[in-house]
Amino acid sequence: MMDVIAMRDFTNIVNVISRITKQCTLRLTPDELCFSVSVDRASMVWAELTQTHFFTEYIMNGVSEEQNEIYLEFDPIMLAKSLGSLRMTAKSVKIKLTNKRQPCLTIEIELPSLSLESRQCLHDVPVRVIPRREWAEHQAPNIPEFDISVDMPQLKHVKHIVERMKNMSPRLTLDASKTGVFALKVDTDSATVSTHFQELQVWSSSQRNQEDKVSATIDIKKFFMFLAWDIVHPDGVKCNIVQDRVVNLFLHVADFVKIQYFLPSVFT
Amino acid sequence: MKCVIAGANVKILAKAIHALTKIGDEMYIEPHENTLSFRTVNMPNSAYADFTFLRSYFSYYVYGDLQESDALKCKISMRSAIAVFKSINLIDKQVESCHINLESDASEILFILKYKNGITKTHLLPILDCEVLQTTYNKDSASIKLSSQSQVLGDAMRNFHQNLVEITLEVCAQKLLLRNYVDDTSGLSNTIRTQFALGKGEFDRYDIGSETSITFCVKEFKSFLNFAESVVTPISIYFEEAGRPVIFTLKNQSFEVNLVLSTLCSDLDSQAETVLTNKPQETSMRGRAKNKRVPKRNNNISSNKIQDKSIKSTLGNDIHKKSHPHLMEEQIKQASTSTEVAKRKSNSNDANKEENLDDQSDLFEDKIPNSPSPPNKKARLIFQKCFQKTFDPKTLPGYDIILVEDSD
Repeated sequence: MMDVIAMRDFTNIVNVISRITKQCTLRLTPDELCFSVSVDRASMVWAELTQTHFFTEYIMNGVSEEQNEIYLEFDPIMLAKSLGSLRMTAKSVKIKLTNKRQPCLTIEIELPSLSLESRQCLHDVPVRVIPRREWAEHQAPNIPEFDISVDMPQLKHVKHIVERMKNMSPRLTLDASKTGVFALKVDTDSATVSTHFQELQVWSSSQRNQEDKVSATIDIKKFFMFLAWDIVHPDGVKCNIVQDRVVNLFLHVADFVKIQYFLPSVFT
Repeated sequence: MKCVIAGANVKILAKAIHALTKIGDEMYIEPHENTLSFRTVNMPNSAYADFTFLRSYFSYYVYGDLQESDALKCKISMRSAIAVFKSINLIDKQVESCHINLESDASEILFILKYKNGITKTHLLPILDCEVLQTTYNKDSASIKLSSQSQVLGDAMRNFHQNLVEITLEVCAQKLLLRNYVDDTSGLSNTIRTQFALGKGEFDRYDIGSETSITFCVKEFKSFLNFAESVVTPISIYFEEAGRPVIFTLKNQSFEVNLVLSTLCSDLDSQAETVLTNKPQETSMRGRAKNKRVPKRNNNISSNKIQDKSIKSTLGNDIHKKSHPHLMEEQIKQASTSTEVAKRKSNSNDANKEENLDDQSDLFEDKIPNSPSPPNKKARLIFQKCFQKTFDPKTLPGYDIILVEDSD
C-alpha cells in the first residue's frame, strides 16, 4: 500500500471491525479481501475489499489453481493496534503472511525519519490459517429475498438519533414503506419515540399497498455499531428488511468496498 | 539552603517532579554547594533517577550553613511533593516564582509558590526518616554510547502497544532495533510482536563496541522520555550488555538528568535480584527475590558496624558499604543492575544500639546455597504403549476405522 487515502481507509475498516468483534476471518482471493464476522455461526458482517484499490502490489498463492484462496482467523483488535502506526504519516505499508514459529500477518510500515534512511516498523500479528475442511463455514452468506429495500438517510443523522434512543430501550424497530418513509422507533413503558425520514428511494418492494409497512425489531446496540461505518464515507447505504426476520444493511464506497451487515430480529 | 526558581523554570521543575513520581514513592532532595538534586529509587530498586539542577537554573541560590549531614538527609514522600506541583498548566500560567528553603536540622522543607495574582502558597513538606541514597554507576566505562534527539525515540515508542512492560533494545552496526519483549512462557499466540528499526543516521552519536541487546522496563523510561521531549533535549544512552545497567542522560546548561535502569539478564540462571531489608531486631537480613521471572536465591548477610569496607562477594557483585559509628546499615544490593544503593539509617533506638555493640565484632557473611533448580521436565508419555517395540497396532480393536482424516 502506498496511497495515503488507501492506507487511511484500510485502517478505518479494520478499526470498525475491531470494535465489533474479537474474532474475525479474512478470506484472500486473487481479486478481493473479505473480512467476515460470524456470531453463533450466523454471518454478521461481510466486508469485501477490492485489492486493486488498496494495494499497488498484490501477490497471493492459494493451495491450488482451483482453490486459490487463503482463509485466516485472527483478533482484529491486534491488527487494528498494529495499523495504528499508520496514523503517523507512513510512507508505505506491506502486509505479508509469514511463518515465524507460527503463522503471522507481518505488517511492515515505512515511516519518514530525520535522516535519509527511513524508519521501519514491523508488527507480527499471530493468525490461524484455516484448513480447507473448515472453509465451508466461512463462505459468503446467502442474501435472502427482501420484502423491501430502501435507501438509508445519511448515517450521521441516524447516528445522532440512535445514540439517544440507545439509552431508552435495548430494542429498536425499523420500518419502511413503499412510499419511501423510513422510521426508527423505540418503545418504553412510558413513551414511544419514533423518527421518520421521508422521500427515500425505494429499490424494491413486495408490498402491493402503498400504506403497508415492513418492520423488524433489532438489537439497538448492534445497529449502533453499524453506524460506525460512517467513518469510511459510504457512497450509498441500503436498508433491506425481511418482515420480522432479518435486517440487512448494505454499504458501499465507490465499487471497492462492499459491506453487508446482518441483524437478526429479536422478539419482545 | 535557599533558592529561587523563576518563571518558566518552575514548569521544568514541576515536570521533573511528575517524572520522578512515576518512578519512586520517596524523593531525596540533596543540596550541594552549587547544585540541587532531586533523586528517587523505585521499590524493587531496579530504577534510579537523578535530576540535578545547576547554578544557572536558579535565579538565586545560596547553600548557607548546612552541615553535610543535613544536606544528605532530606527525604520526603513523593505524594507530598506532587501536591505542590499538581497542575503543570496552572503553574505555567500563574506562578511567578518558587522558593525552596531547607534549614539545618529542620524537620520540614519549605516550598513557597508565588502567584502572579499576589497569592503566596507555602507548602511545608515533612522530612521523613533520614536516609542517604548512594549510587555507583559509571557512564564512561560503558562500551556503547548513543545519542539522539528525544523526539526520535519518542516517535519510535509511540509505535508500541500502550501497556507494554518491557522493551528490548538491540544495537547492530548499521541500525538500532527496538522490540517488545515477549516472555517465552506467556505464549506467542496472543501477542503482537513489534519491531522498530532506526537507522544509524538518526543518531548524533553511535559508538558501539559490540553488537548486543538489552531489555528494560518501559514505564520509567517513558516518564523520562516525556520529560526529555518537553524540554527538547537530546538523550544519551550508555550501556554495556544484558544484565548490566543502562543509563539514560539528558544534559544542558541548567540541568542534568540521569536515569539508571536494570536490564534483564539473558542468562536467567546467573541472575539474582535480591533486595535486602533491615529489620532492627534481627542481625541478619534476608534477601528476597523480587522478580518472579528470576529464580530465587537467598542471601543472608549480616552486617553491623562495618568500618569502611567493601566486600567482594563470590557472585562478583560488589557490595559497597560506608558506615559511621552508631549508624546501622541498610543495604540494598542488586545483582541484576549492580546499581549499588547503600542507605544509612540513623538509629536512635537504644536497644538497637546495644545490639549493635554486641555484634560489633561480628562480621560474617552467611550464604544459603542456591535453591535447587526446578526438576527437569520429563516428557510424560500419554500413549506409552505405542512406543514399545512389541506394540502391534493391529491387535487393537477397531484399528482400521479412520476417525479423523489427515489434515492439510
